Amino acid sequence: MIEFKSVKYHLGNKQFEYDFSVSSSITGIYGHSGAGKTTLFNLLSGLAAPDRGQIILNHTQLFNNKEKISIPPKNRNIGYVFQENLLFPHLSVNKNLLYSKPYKRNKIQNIEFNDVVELLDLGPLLNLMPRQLSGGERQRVAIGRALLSQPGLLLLDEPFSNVDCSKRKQIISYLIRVNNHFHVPMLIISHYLEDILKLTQNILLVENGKVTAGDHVFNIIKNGKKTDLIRPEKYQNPIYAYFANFDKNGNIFNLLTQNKTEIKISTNSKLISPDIIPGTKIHLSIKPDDISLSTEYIEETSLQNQIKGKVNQIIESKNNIFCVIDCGFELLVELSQTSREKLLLHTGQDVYCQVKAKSFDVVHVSNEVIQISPVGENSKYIELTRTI
Amino acid sequence: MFSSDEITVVILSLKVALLSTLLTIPLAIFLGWILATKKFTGKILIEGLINIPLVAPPVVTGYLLLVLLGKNGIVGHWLYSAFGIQLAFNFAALLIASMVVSLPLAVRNIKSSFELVDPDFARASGSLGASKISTFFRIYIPMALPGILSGAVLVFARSLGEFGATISFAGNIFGKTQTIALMVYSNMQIPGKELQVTRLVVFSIAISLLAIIASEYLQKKKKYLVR
Repeated sequence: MIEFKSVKYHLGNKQFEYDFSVSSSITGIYGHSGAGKTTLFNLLSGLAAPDRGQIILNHTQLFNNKEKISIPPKNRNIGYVFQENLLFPHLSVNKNLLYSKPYKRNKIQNIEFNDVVELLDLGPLLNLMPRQLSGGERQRVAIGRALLSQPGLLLLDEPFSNVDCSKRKQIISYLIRVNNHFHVPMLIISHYLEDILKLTQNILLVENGKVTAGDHVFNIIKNGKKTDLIRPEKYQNPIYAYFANFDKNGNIFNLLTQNKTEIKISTNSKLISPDIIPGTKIHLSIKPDDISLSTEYIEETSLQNQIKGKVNQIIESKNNIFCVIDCGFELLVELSQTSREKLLLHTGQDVYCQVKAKSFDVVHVSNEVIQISPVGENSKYIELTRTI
Repeated sequence: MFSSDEITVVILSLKVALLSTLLTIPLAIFLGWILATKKFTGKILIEGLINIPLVAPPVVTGYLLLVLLGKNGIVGHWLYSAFGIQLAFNFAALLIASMVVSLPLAVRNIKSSFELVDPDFARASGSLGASKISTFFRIYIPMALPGILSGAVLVFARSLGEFGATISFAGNIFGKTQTIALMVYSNMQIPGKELQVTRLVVFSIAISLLAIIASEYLQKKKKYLVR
């Protein structure tokens, strides 16, 4: 739990005011550059001191100008992964990782060196020097180094900025692994909304030195506020499903959601190994404009997915219409005004969400496996029998 | 190769150069770090004072030292009357003259090395739990190490070649304050000592050349190490 109470700060002529609280395990911080995202991190980590106000982390006051409390950065127990990752160039990866060892601060947290190395696949890098690493590798080492300082909170400033596009997905998956395994809450700054939304739906919006919204992004979209910043078309619908079986004919993976909706995906994502175990939990994402709607089930179609749902809400945006469809899980769907009129869409209406198998993006494949067993002759009918 | 007199002088010279290096470098690290990382009023004045011996004629530096630390000097008189400490025309004077003259070389070198260290590394170190002192020893010192070593090489070479300040402040006393440079000077005045002069000159040039090569090598390494 992080609380900023009437925190005021200035840098030159620029004024910053923060008043918010955050308690989710991963929170994305989004805003234009210069809006005050990194300043927020600097105030939280103690690299900058507010003019006034109160900063509280897990019921401990980090700063309070009235009570003259200002805990120095080294005692705040916050891991900070800087934008430039700042690996010490004169130390090997191994020594960078172990840098904080003499100052072990947090007696409660116990993050083991070997766990970090294994989870972030740092083994082959240990004896290399930072200059020998690629952007993605440096980022992983920086995350590992921050984790080994046994932080109660991890701050990541633009973790994707020095990483090329293909490696970004990898970093996202690593961050989810880290969060699942060590349970260290994370705050992540990025100006790539799509990347943030693959990690978390909980967003703090920072505009002109202020936090202007802090909520589940779906709520921000549904409320129709901040559409200039959180554009609904940038949304990434999160879907959690379990691998059932592999369809050899079409290179298709058959998945099943918690409410037994079938999802078929076709992907060449490196995150899915060919020998994936049935029951493995997979985190997918799908963009609103990759989903089409029909009022009836279409018999003759090449589309692999027709997910039944009900129109929950219709949101009018500047150019397009967005529908919230309840399929047991909620999906945001983008469609044109013409399509809306053609389908005579209204709330409460039954619809089918049609999605190509290759439109799904694999975000993360978890270690979590549930037991699933086939029902009937055709193995595609599967029942979830136990969740872990 | 060398005569016994020459050996006495060479050993004294090496002893002074080595001691001067060992004493100057810690001071230069401290001053270089302060000048590179801190902002305070009077910074330019301190830098100016340190650098005077670099631009002033060494004889002037020697004279100033004599005025300041000589038996009848401002500080020297007090040191002599209160503690019986005499700083001019002895080994201490030799050492002090070497240190004062070579300090600016070391400070300039080391300061520029500290300036190359991105202060964000210090912030990263702090965020990992290190105190300021820890950060100084684990980040600043190792990252500036090539600059510190090249500074040390220059101090050693400069001390070995020091002449003007030494002759003014420490004198030219054989067995006590006569170094290679002073012996070369003395022998140049005496006909028939050309061979002795040549031997010492060749030795001096060899040492200087080695020092410059070592310093250049370390300078290159400095750029390689930081980022």
